[in-house]
Amino acid sequence: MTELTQADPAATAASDKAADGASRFDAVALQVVHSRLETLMRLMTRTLEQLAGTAVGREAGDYSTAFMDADGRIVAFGSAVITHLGHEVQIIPWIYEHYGRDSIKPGDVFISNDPYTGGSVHSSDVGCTAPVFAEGTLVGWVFCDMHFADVGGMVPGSFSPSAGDCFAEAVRFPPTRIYAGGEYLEDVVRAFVNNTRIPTQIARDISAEVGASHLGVRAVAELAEQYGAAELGHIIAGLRELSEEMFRARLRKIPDGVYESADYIEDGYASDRVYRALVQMTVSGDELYFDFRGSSEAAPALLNCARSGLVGGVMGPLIQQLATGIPFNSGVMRPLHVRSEPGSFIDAAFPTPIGLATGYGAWAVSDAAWGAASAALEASGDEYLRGRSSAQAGGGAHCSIFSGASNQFGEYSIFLNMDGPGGQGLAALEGLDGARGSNVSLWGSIPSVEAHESHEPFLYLSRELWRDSAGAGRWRGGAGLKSAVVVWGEKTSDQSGTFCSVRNAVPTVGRNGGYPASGVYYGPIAGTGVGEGLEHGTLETCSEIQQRYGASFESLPSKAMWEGERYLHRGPAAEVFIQTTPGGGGFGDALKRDPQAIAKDVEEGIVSSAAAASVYGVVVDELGAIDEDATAARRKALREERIHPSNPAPVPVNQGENDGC
Amino acid sequence: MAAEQMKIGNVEHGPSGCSCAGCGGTLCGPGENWKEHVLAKRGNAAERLNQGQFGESYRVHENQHVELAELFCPHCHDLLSVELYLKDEPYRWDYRSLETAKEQGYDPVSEFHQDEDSWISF
Repeated sequence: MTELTQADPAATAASDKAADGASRFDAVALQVVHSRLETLMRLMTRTLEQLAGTAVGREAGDYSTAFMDADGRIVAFGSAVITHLGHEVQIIPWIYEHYGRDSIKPGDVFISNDPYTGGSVHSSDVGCTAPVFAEGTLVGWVFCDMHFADVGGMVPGSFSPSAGDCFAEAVRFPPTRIYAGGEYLEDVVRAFVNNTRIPTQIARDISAEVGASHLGVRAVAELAEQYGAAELGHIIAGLRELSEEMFRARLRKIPDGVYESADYIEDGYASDRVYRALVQMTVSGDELYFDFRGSSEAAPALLNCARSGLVGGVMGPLIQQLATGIPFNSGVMRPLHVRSEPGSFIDAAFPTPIGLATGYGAWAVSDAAWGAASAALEASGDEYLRGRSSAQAGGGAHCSIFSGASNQFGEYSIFLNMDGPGGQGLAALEGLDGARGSNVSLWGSIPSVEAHESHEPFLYLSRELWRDSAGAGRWRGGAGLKSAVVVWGEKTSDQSGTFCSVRNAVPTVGRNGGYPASGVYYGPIAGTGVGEGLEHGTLETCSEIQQRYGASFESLPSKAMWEGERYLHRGPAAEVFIQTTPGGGGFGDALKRDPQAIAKDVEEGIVSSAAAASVYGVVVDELGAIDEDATAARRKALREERIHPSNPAPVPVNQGENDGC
Repeated sequence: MAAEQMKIGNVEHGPSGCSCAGCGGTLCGPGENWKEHVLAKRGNAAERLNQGQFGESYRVHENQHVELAELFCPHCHDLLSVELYLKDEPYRWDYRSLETAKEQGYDPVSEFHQDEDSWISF
């Protein structure tokens, strides 16, 4: 829990006194209200997890909660997806503009998932928002948002690389009442659910959000009754003012100037084109400007984001890096100004496809801004702020969506594998190997194997750390994961799929001399005999399968659609499906990594002994001991190669650690 | 040019230009981008990264547009930075002072005050 006086004592001390020395805020009331709202965010989150209809909501952490004041300004934000702030700041003004503020009544609940009306960042994230009244006055809004596994459109799972506009991607609801004055509008819910392929699960998801919203409305109303609506408004204004002053004090520690960075996202379906999110971040006194002009024009497919994604992407480095430790609310946003080129892939114009905006366009915005923020924080010279700089965490969404006529229960099913967003390697930073998660989510959460298997028609052969996937550096990135699954279940039919990933051709970058992590790959291996082995109780791991059958691996492009044309089969001839998640970027020069740390990496299977020698210049023998003379010679050779690039140091021979693919 | 001495990554920025934080060797003068004045290996990212050096299971999909730049100190050969670029994309500036940026035609603060409606504010 953030304490109001924790991060910047000097700023806080300055802020809680008015010019005449009198206290402007009741510090105790501020802390109590702040803490209660933070707790409420957790309770609403827990409600979503408990009631959600799929593993995406129950275990993958793809949701958020918020409390906004009567004008729609953020007062409290709950875990986990920061990008959702991009539409959370837009939705209430949209409702007022289109329905009128006077039309809002106690007991209203709105559903929304349209990225072009402030209702979402991508249509798969469906939100519920409800007004809170106390003493007859509108005191604020509670909001929650969660990824739904299917929202219609042309393919199961609603991620289509071939959709040419947002109409083909999903059903899109602008903010629309599903409760009016406390009356449940079943017709409207039915209209939404009727447009999805898994109506039972989607109805449960909606119920989860309604439940979380009702909880939020009741809790905030109790708070308002305790303090009085007017006093609560005063306290909320105080929280906002305090956060703004703390953040402005923070910005003044960063040297004025322009910090530049970029991130890239590959298409991989319509073409091999790579899209650039370019940012120039300017600090001038206590004002902060993010200028994304110069970014690529819109793509013909789902990797764009609308303005909601642009804003949501910027919020990541704001919360995780620049304003970390400061109570987050709209006060932190006050010094912030964002500009882009309307029509670019990070500020796409209606009806450009935006199906995976959160995982691609908005994520590129966040990662680009992360790089600029890291440079600015390093420039500050402030030890606390410098510690917020890091390499890039394994990022982007990596989604395999399988669907079939029958799962293990004999029902049509969609299996949205969300292992990617939660299973990515963490970023390295000064002094720490893989220790920092992405700017996009406050925590990475990955469904357990058992959660998958109990509801989805697949058996996990293994899920394991992926050796040599981490970005090399003085401090290395965290390793990615690789897993192997087969179609499973007596009633299960063959499964078709749609696949979307990034960081295949554009790997996760390091920082300050750290190297990129490996690109990701995924695809089927046929002819393994695994299906037959399973029938006799034999289970092979992903690495074992790769070693034995790697030559049969079919590496799919970063986006692929099988719908109606290709299937994974079950039974004795079952194909194994391999999937990886990206590692984190490295930080600093790999030749300066402590040899003992490398020996430990080799022992733990994170780095192969071959890569230890060829990247880090550390020679480890078969027993795990460091050969110091060979290491010194190897590092000298690698350093000399830098001066004579035409004479590269030889790559060590493979030492039997080939993963095969 | 930085008005004050500051360290970004492995490079010191100051009024007299940029220098290597490791050895102190001068990289460039004021108002210049240090990345254009150091030892650089730049080429197709997949070709560079898929040579086997990073491990047998490490792989980057081939793409003609993506380049990897490895930037070394010309004095001590420390690896200063490893960055991705599109083919033919100019090196990015880690940092420019407001004055340098303005001299080069970029002044977002003035642009904001002249046309606030073109910016998203909160």
